[in-house]
Amino acid sequence: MYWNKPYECMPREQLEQLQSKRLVKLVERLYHNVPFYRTKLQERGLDPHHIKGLEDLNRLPFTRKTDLRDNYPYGLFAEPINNIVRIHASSGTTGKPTVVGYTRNDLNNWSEIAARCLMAASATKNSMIQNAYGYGLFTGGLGIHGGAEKLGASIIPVSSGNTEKQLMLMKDFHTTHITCTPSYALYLAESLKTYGIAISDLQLKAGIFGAEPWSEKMREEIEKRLHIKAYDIYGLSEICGPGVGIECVEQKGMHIWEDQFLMEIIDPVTEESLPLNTMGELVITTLTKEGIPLLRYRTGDRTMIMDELCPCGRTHRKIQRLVGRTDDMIIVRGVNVFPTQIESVLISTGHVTANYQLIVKREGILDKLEVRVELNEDQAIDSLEDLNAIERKILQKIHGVLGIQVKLTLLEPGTLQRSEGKAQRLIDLRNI
Amino acid sequence: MIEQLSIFMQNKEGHLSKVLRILSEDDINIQSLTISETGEYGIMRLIVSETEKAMTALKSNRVLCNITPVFAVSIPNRPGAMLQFVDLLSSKDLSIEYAYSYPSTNDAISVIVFKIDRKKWTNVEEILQNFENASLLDQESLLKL
Repeated sequence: MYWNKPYECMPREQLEQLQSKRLVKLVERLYHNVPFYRTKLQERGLDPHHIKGLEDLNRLPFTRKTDLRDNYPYGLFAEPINNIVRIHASSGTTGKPTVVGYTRNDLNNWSEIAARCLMAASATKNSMIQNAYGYGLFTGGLGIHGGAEKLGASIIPVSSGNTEKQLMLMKDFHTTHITCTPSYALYLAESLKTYGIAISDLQLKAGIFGAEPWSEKMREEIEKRLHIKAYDIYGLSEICGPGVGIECVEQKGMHIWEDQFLMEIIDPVTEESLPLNTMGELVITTLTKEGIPLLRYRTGDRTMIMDELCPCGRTHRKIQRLVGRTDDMIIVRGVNVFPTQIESVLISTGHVTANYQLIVKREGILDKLEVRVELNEDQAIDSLEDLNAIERKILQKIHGVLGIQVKLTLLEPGTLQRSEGKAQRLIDLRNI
Repeated sequence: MIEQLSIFMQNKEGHLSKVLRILSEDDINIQSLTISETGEYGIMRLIVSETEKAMTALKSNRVLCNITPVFAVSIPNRPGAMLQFVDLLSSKDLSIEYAYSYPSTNDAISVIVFKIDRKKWTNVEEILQNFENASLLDQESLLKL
């Protein structure tokens, strides 16, 4: 099922022509409207007529998150503020948040792609969508909201938090689709018992989960516990928020809406473009945005562009599930590890839950990683030997799969703090 | 066969009292208690007045607990009686995984709770049937002691 078949299934050649045309216009707009980009282009000896299409993409400068911060709040806006109809901002845990502004057209384009995403993930106008992403400065809530309204589905704008109420509404309102972070989905699942709700009391069919990296094993866990299909949605506030990409029913990679976003994979160190099917950093150029268009934005997300036609019929290429942002990468004795990789191993052992936390410390010149994870509630433990056996098995698996030695701490069920939004998996005590 | 509760805890302040509070609020009496621990973890083994009720209360508070089947045996309260009992089990190739004593108000007997390999349960009953200095107790008689 497609929301917008002519666009979603546009022949590649036509799609690339459209991208080329939009890129040329974008560069023109940025050159004239955003001093930051004019300077950057001039530094490279470029003016708009040098950029004739996609073939000139790698002549263009990159944009980094720090550029948004340095130009706080409106420095990168390409439209006067009276044309901006909405502002969102990142949480900005350190210093100033990153601010994004949307024109009326931006909001329309955003809800268009969010509607495509919802439909790709099995929602229709008949669906009851419970939107448990936070509403507010965070793009999650309002992004999904716009898409669901465009789709014509019924939306429950419950926002994040208040688990008991979430479950009550889910049951009483016959929710068919839930949207939230994957870690919160799991928390909802484990809270069912607490509030005396059975899976059979629910009409839930699918969940659309994003805003934090999660593993394939985590998907299996959520699907098993909630009896749903769990779809991964991609977005980041600098680009627009949720809806940049989505998994279709194939559940193998996320389609990126290439009529609106130009994607590349680069080597994060040399900044050179990498071929298809090669892991690197995802870089996005916004082709249609008016409020704050970005050239070659370095997302920090590690993935690859998949070189394959999707059986679903969409021509927009897919990226592989994200292992995590470069910021989340831990280096333990020279081995790069993402929290999602550890998550995957933990769940696959069958002894522990997906509620875990990673603590990185520096001892001397080495990074030491402690994995703290809650035991499954139905683990049969009668002796310290039982615990040792579980510990040994998990440690061996982590070492076998990831090649790293960690300290493991097993926790009682329910002791790690549950997050209503993005789960904090990594606690970095390295003070670098 | 006796139903013993085995409870996993982190060896941290407040974790023991959490479990005890849950039991106390449900009016469950603890008949015997042992704890084995490392620096990080503790395993508490309890025999309580109402096992099922205790399990339900603990589970609904997300305490990691299980019912472990163990044996309780009453032996004479005199020097050498425990040795004799253990020797008997050893001679039949039964080894004890763990054991602890259970309080009794009767001075003439000692009560020992012990766990052995699940595969050898049936042997225990057979062996002790013909042994005059030890008798197996069931849950009901244990709680009445």
